[in-house]
Amino acid sequence: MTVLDVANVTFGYTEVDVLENVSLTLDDGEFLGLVGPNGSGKSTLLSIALGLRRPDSGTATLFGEPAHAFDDGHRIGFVGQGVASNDRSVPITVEEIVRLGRFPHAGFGRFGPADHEAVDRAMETTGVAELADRRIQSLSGGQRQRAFIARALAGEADLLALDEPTVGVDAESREEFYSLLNGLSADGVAILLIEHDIGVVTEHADTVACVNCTLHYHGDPGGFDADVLADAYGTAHQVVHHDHYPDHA
Amino acid sequence: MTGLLQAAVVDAATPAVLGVYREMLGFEFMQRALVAGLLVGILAPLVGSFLVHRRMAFIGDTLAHVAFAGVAAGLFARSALGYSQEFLPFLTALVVAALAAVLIQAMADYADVYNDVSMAIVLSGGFAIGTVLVSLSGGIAVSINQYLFGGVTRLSWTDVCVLAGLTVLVVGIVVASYKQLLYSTIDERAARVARMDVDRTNYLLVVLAALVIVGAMQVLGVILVAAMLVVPVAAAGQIAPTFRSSILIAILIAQLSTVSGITFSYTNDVAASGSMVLVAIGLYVIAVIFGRRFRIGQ
Repeated sequence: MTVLDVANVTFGYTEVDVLENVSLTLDDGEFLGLVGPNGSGKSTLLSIALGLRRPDSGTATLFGEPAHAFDDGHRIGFVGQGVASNDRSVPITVEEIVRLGRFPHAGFGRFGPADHEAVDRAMETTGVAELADRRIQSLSGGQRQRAFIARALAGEADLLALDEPTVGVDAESREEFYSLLNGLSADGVAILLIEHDIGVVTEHADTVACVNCTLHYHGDPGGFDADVLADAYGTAHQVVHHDHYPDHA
Repeated sequence: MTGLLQAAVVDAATPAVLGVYREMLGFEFMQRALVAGLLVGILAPLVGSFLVHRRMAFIGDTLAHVAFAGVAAGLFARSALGYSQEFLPFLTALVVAALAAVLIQAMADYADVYNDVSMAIVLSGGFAIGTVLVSLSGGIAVSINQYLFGGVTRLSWTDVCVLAGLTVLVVGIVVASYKQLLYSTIDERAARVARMDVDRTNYLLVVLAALVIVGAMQVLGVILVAAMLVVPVAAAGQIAPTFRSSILIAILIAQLSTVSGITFSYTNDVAASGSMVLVAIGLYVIAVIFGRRFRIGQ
């Protein structure tokens, strides 16, 4: 089943288009990695795909409905940029963060047993159950990131959208994080990941999309080669090889 | 400051202090002052908990100064135009502050961020209009002092009842909207993706802030009213284990500040509003030291 469908989308904040005629689809259980240079329109494309912005032309649908009119919020889990950074002093615990994911289910009503079970299950899955009572800013970047993934899982989301969630996270935690995403994808959750590290995306994702105003590539990670990279990023771009991802550039 | 803290912490349990309370509460105006102070001590930290953690602490000051223009307009209408309605300054302050709150939120939506420059312009513009109206109407300087610096001992039972009604209304709205307020405070973009009504929640919060500011203004005054929205919340943030408990601890700190501040003001014949805020700041300092010492939340 198609979870997300962006067709011929064009969008600009001013008269200059940020996105031009971009089309993408995401099916359930698919792990799509979205890459592109800084300012290439990745986050804007995600906003349009999730219905937070409406395209100037083209269409965006979520679960078969127009994205901007889709109101079944609990089916979408979102982890934004900067969740791993330690710049907030809000006195909130891991469990309180995870409970947020159930709020669209509970509405104005009280939390029921099903809500509590979903929260506990999500914390177990992501390995933060033992940290439930800890304040979020006392955790490491990797632990914080898993708490925010747990929030998305608590809502029993069918689509997980992540906008550069690994900024500020150490290499080992990142590896665990991507293994977690692979596991969720295998369980049928559709994953749309924006990531600046191309090596990571080609290692873990089922499909790769590369955008820089227009869509430069959409397909199997194996076909995402140096020519595509030069086309999207410019010839001056150099791929950095990571020791912790020995098989990929 | 030491004397204030003693009033707050140490002396509270001694028989001599009980005598002071017995004497103080023998006066009806002090009963009214304490009840009003305690109500403000519920209202201000409750709404402040959501403002401070959105980094909107400055909006309290802005709305208070704009509300001053509303008070001045009400006093001007009452004295210059001959309206005798006692509640006119309160009502005009309420309307002006609520409109300013909506305007500030609309500007934030337009610019995608709370802009401190536009807030500063609204703040000083509101206060400037207030001073012009005051000077135009001549002999209302005494009344304006109560709004500027607080006049907790001058409140009537009707004022206290209005404040009690406001407290019930605001507490009811916050309890009913707690999930929306919390989600959009912690992670606004994720709340939008989850289809929480973030825009309506944002407008609701700033209008609640306007209600609280105007309600608390007669107790604390324009200059100091925002402190009760910010200081107890900042103190609670240092020591609270959870967000929910941080609201209750902030209210507790505000209550302690109110009771000891008003008591200190009564026994030493000094300004009640200033005493309350100074105790709150003292408790904040203690909370910072305590929070670091015991590494709360680690």
